[in-house]
Amino acid sequence: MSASSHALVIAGAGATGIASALAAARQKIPVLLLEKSAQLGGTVTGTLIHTLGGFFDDRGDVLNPGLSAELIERLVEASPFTCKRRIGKTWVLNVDPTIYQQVIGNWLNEYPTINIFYQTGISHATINTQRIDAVTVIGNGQSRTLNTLAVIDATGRADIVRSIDSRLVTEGSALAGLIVQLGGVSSDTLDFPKGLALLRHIWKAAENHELPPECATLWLDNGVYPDEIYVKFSFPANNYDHAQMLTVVNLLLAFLQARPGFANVFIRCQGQLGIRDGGRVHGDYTLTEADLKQGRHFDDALCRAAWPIEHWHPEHGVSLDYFPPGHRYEIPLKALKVGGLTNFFVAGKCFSAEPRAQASARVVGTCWAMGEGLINAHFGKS
Amino acid sequence: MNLPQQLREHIINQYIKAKAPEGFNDDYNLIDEGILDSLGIMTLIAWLEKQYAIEFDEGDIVLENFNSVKALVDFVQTKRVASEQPTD
Repeated sequence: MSASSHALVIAGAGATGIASALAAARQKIPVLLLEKSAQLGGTVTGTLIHTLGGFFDDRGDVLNPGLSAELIERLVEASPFTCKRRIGKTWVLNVDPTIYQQVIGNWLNEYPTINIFYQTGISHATINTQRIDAVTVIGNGQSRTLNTLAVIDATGRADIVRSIDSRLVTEGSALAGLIVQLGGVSSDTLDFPKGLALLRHIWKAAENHELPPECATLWLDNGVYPDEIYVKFSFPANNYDHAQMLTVVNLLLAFLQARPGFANVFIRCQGQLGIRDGGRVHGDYTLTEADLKQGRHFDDALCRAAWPIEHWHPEHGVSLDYFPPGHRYEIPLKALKVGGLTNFFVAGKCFSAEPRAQASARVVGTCWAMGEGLINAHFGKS
Repeated sequence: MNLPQQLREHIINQYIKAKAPEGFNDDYNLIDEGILDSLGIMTLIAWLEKQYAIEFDEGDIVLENFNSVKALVDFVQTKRVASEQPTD
């Protein structure tokens, strides 16, 4: 990391951060991509998301051209198991999170102007006349000050905004998720709607105390490979107890082993806790649920979105509020601007939005398009 | 309100949440047209059990019982009759 050169500093190597980095690199803008964890991919790879939402509209057409469309092509090319899949009224891209991680890693490596630093974050931003002139970066036991062209907070938790003024962030309350990949399952076990009967059997067992209460709201989904299913738990983030959940998963596994198709079931991988709403900033504009429902157009639109309002209410659980057929809405640049700063943006799932607007806009496809749209809007499309 | 009317109204209010689509009738395919997805079926089962004091068995969760308002009416009626039969 050079302290003297100016670079676009992006905090967070999830969907938004990676899309921003790639878009900037294509414009020959030097990029420092800082990631707190030891891996690329953010929520998709950390929590094991295999059904990527937000890339397609309700007809299955790609919503945003550019990097989003190219990502789909690369993921399809990388694995014969990547496929477009209809779930209810939505379309998702079914992909192995490991394949996703490989593809984005290779893609970033194509650009020598993108420098990636793992286990690194921003501890301080130096503000001067409505600009962030420099940031202090801490990683691997070292602290350095870097000059900035612009700064993007794509941390999903608004980490940089919090370091500037924590009052600019409203904490999220959406339920968190924990995903477990199971292998060794017969391929037709979750065929629709047969899988719902199994799901109900599990819920009933939890009601009857044959399974822990965490199983009363879990969801099951077919995986990417024929022998694979995904188990998805949801609960308030502050209730998460890692040791307790290991016990829950093992009890569930023992319960499933007695069911047809599960004799050889095993845990393939367990994701980290997935935070759907890590806090939303108060930006120059707050995107509203009404904006979404009206399909509002903005002069400074960055991208289009159409994912339903998938709200994980802390008390009432998940609900899906679909838009009418063909409906789309836009995300404006002003919802990514904070505190009147001219070269600082908060992008991805902690951008400025009402909770139910965020519940639609937070999905990975929208975050990719938002990241690319932001670079094109701020630096001008090449 | 009779059973078909109740079920029709519930489907429109809870799952379509807008003006019923053109051609919507009691034979309209709720699955193929994307009105009922997995989550929708699970919430519908919970509502039907509570509303009509019936219980779904594992074998009842098949497409034929959910693919139209008419199928739902037939299913609820069958379940209600079965629950009124003496058990011995």
